[in-house]
Amino acid sequence: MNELERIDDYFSGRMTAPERTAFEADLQSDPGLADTTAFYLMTRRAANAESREQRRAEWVTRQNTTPTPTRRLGIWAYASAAAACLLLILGIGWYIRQQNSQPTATALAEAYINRNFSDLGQAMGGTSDSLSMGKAAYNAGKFAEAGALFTAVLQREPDNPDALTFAGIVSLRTEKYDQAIGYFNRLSLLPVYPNTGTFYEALAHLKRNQPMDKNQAEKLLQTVIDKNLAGKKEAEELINAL
Amino acid sequence: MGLFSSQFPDQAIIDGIKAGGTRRRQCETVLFDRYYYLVRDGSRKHKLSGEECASAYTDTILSVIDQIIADRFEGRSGLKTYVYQIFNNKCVDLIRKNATNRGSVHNTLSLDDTILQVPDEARPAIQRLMDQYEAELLQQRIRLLSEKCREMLLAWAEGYTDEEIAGRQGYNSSDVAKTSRLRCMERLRDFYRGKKP
Repeated sequence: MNELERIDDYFSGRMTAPERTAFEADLQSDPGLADTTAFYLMTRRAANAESREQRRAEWVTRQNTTPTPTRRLGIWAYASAAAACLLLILGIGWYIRQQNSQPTATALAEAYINRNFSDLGQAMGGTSDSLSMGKAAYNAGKFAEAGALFTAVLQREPDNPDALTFAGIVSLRTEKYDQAIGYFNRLSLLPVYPNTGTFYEALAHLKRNQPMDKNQAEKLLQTVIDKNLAGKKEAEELINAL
Repeated sequence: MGLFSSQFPDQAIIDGIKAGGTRRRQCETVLFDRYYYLVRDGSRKHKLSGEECASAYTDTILSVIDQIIADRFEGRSGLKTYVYQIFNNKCVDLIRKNATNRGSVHNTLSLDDTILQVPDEARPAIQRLMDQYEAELLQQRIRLLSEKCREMLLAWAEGYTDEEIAGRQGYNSSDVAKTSRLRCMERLRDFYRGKKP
């Protein structure tokens, strides 16, 4: 058995107790054995350092050739994120579907106004009374002038249903909704047939679109339907959209 | 990747490293990859360069592997906490090293406690003799050995048994592997003393 093998057996625990004792005694008395032991231990240390350098080099190559891994997330984190995304997509889809499939009551009211109030028609025979002049001004897009003419008529005849209707429509088109609601409310109280006052007042509330306007419009539309007033068919459409 | 890495719980990595062989290598790589994001975090937190942090991280993983093999990782904390603490300490060491320019602070050489087996009365003399050897020269000479010899010595220094080395390198028995390893050491000694390879 050469020195190195004996040293290896000692450090690997392959010696019996007497052999160990003998080796330890020789270690102190035999300089050659002591030197070889030092070499053995230094070789182990140097080989370990070399091994670590190799591992380090392998990992550096790995870092350069593979993408940087991100922080590890648990499966629940992925599941929660997926569920949140799904809910968000469903929510957006539902919202878009609602928006596309059913126009809002305000949009319906606006469509009605654009369709029916773009022209007030012309008085038969081309008369030159204030109402006719007001309608002509309105049809020409001169809303301020038309409004002044209808107001002048109302000063003379406060319960003139045509003047109230036209003044209300002018106010509606010029976005003076408070005024429009006032005119149409007055119209609704008049004993005329057909009376569009309640329906038009509901339209004005929908266009104003303030916090309580929707409720108010709903009540008025319900009245139109219940009492079979002018605009019942349109009122039914609008109330469904509310 | 996160989903798949969860297939390797801490204990599987520890067991794999202790098992040795190919499994050990795989588990070391899994361990290295798993917490590599600490490099980015460390760089931001300690204001060190990415390269410095990557080096500190590599040393961290090597230390953790050493601790696992030496049964010094007792599992009182999770592997992540353990890695994080060592990495943090290494980063602080690096900052000190940068501030004081003392390279010795960042000593990455593995602590080999084999010498502790030597009886107390003989140890100082052996240590003095060891100090006379040039570790760096010895390491250079290891690189001059044949590939088979080099691999054998590195595996032995990493703690592989002769039986495992025999299995890895295709020797018939652990005795043959041991004899070959000791011959390689003799050759290394010759190289170290100046004999040409």
